[in-house]
Formats: sequence, C-alpha cells, structure tokens
Amino acid sequence: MTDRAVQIEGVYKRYPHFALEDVALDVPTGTILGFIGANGAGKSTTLRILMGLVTHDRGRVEVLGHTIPQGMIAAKAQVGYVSEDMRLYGGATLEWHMGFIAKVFDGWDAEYAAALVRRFDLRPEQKIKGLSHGQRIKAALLLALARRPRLLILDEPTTGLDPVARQEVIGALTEAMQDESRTVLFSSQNTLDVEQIADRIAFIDRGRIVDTDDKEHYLDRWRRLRLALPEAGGGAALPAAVSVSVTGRVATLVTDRHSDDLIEACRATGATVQGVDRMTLEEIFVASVMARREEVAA
Amino acid sequence: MNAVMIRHLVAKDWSFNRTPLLAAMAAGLIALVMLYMATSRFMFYIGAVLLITVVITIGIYLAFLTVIHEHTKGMLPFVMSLPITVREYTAAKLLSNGLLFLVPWVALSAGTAAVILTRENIPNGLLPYAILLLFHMLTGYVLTLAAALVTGSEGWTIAVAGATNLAFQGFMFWTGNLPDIAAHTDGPVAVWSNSVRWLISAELLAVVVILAITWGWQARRTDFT
Repeated sequence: MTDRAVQIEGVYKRYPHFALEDVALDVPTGTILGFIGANGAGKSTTLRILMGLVTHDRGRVEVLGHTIPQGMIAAKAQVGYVSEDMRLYGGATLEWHMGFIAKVFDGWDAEYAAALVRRFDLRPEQKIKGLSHGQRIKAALLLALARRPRLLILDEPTTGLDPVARQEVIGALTEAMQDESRTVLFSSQNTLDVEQIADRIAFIDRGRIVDTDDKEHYLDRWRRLRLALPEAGGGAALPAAVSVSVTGRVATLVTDRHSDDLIEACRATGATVQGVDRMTLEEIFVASVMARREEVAA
Repeated sequence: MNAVMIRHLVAKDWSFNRTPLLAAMAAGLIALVMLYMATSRFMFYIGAVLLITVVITIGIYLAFLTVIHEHTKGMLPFVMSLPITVREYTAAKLLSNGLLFLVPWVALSAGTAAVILTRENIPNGLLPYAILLLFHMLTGYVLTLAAALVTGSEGWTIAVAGATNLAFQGFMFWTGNLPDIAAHTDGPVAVWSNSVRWLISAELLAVVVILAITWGWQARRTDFT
C-alpha cells in the first residue's frame, strides 16, 4: 500500500479564461486535507482531474497508486466522490440509488448505510426530487461513505447547507475518519468547516497552490501583530510581511512566518508591540488571497 | 472494457425509460390501428402522421432523457464517479439507446409492414417506401443522439433534432417522387427497386459513420463535466 493517497506533480490544465499551473500536491494516507480557495481558484478542476473527469495537459497524477487517467477505473473503485453540483436521479428513490451503488461496489456496507440513513434522517423510499438541497447532499454523501472508500473526495459538500445539516455532514466525516487508513480531500470556501475537521491544509489561488502544510503548524505560523509606531506613517522600516497596514501611528502586520525574531525585528524599528493575535483560518485565507491579488495588481 | 459497469448503466437507463417507452409504443399501436382501420385517405394520412410523430418523438425523448438531462441536471458527475471511463460511458449510452430505440422501432416497423401487407385497400407497393422512411428516421435519431453525446447541449440537440425533422419532410417528398419508387407505391406488389436498396444501404452506412465519429470524438475528449 502506498503511503500517499494522492500525488500531483507539475500539473497544468489550460482553459480559455483559466489555467491550472504547476500544481503539486501530496496527500498522505490517513489525512484529512482541507482544500481552500476562492471561487474559480481551481479547486474543482483539480478534484475533477483526480477523478478523471478532466484530463490534465501536462504533469503526473496518482490516486491510490494508480496513474490518472490510465488507471482511473482501479482508482475510482476505491474512491467516494461527492460534489456540490452533483445530483442524483430525481425520479428514483434513495433506496434505488443504494441498491444501484451496492451492485457496483463490492465494499458496500448495508449496515453502515442503514445507520447513515437514520443519522441523516433520510427516508429510503422517498424520491430524490422531493428532497431538500441538504437532504440531497446527505444522500450523496451516504452513497459515497457506505461503499467504504479508501479515499473520499468532497468538492464543496457543505455549500448551501443549513447549520444543522452542516454539522451532521461534518460529524459523519469525522466518524468516517476513525478508520486511519482512510483519506479525505475536502474542498471548501467555508474555512470554519476545514478548521474543524482538516489536519492538513492546501491553499489554491488563481490556479496555483500557494501553500500547503499541517493545519496546526500552519495556524501557528500566522499571526497579526498590532504595533504602535514611533511616528505617524512610519511603517516603512517594518520587516517584510504578508500585509502591513498603517493608520497614523497604529500599524497592523500580518505574517505567515511568525517567530520571536520577527517580534524583535519589529521592536528594532522603534515600534511597540501591543498585541500578537492568533488568526482564524478565514482571516488567514482572506489575508493571503488579498495579499496575492495586490501583488499581482502591482 | 468494464462490461459489468456497462451492463449496470444500460439496465439503469432501461429501468428509468421503459414506462414512457411503453406509453409511446401504445401511441404507435393506436397509429397502426388507425392505418389498419382507415376507410378514407384522410384517416390513413392521420394514422401515418401519428406513426411518424411517435417514432421521431421517441428518438428525441431518448436523446434528452438519457443524455442531455444527465448533463444539464447534474447527474453526470454521479455517473462519472463510478469506476468507468468516458469510452465505457459512451458505449453504455449507445447500447442503452440502441436498445430503447430499436425495440419500439422494430415493433412499429413490423406493425407497419403487417398493416400494409394484410389490408387489401393499402397497396403492397407502399411497403418499400414505408421501410425506407423508417430507416431514415433511424438515421435521424442516431444523428440526434450523437449531437447530444458530443455536445451535451440542449440547444445543439434541439437544433439537430429540428434539422433532421425538417430533412425528413424533404426526404419524404424527394424519395416519393423518384421514378422507380413512385412507379410502384400504388402497385399491388412490393418492389425493392435500386433506389430503395441504395438508399437503405446509404442510411445504414450513415448510421455506422455517425456512430464511429461519435465514438472517436468521445474518446478524444479531455473534459467530461
């Protein structure tokens, strides 16, 4: 068994108005990777490449040790995929879908499926077209989870869900991860969900992976420093950072390389460090994307 | 080829579409009864129009229900998340559509032939022309299905279905006036003239070419969303 559930190296995919460029991503077996990016950043395209729905122009993609797209059948036999835009057959019942998936996947666990039906408060005899958006997502997730996949690829599964449904989905995912050999690749714009369940994080922006790290280490690296400058507008001497904003004598510095040395470097400019705040994933996400966009605009 | 998966997908399309298909076949049966019972040219004309409409409608319905709706209503990601390739998906669609269209097409063609050959007031000479038109409808259906598979677009499929329907009217008029067809349609004997044989061969060849192009096109697709 490979110790990498997903390996992507130097992947390019060009569209008329968007391109994935030199995407590289390693997902160790047994991790939950939160894949974060704004709309149109390339999350879905990357996940679709993993599923063989989109063929990359260049680069190497391996899923569970199978090269994609050549080995996609063997890979997909062990992958559960749910995307926000995925729909089940409206005229068929959930029971029909469960029977259909059970025929396709040897690993289908009927007991687990029944437990998920209860947990998600679904009715197998109900037609899919009568389900709410949240129920449809839960039904799709049930079909993916009960096949006991080695890899779960979830593309924005919590988008549009009410808070209760979101917690149910996250709870089921957390439970699914009790099996340490299972890997989850989970894309979302909702950083709260990612912060809650992911143990690794990858950021993608404008078709490029801009950062990837262990979640705790990642959150540890980012800090917002509140500084009092010796004179108004005197932020130019501050050390390099993701962003620095100055209003009068007050400066806010956001860094992704937090260390004691950085604080000393700030003090060396004559600034007084008034506070060092941890940042939420959402704040980091916004700061990171905004900084990149300002960089590109400049 | 993953034959098991193809079989599952064909069975799925069959189970979803057999009821509406039975309804369409019932309408086709009504058309055949009208043709059989026709005591006037007007009633015969109505029966023929109904029969043609049923066959064309079945084709358009299948292209939309089995292919276009999966694209536009978001079922395609679900299907493609199964352990299949684009080639296998295409093979499953061609097989399920072939089955779903050919069952009523063969039944209604056989019914048409039976009506023509058993009713004394309908000349047997009409049979080759009727069969030729049924083959042309088969080709039109395959073209519509190909457009649906290749484009996945509602607009393009409607455009192709409209164009093939329009072409059918022209084909009916053109072939009905070909001398070696027109000379026998009112005759007591079914004459399989050169024109009829050549045109049916051309229709079959067109079906094979359209299917081959569709297969090749799908195999080269790099984006299946």
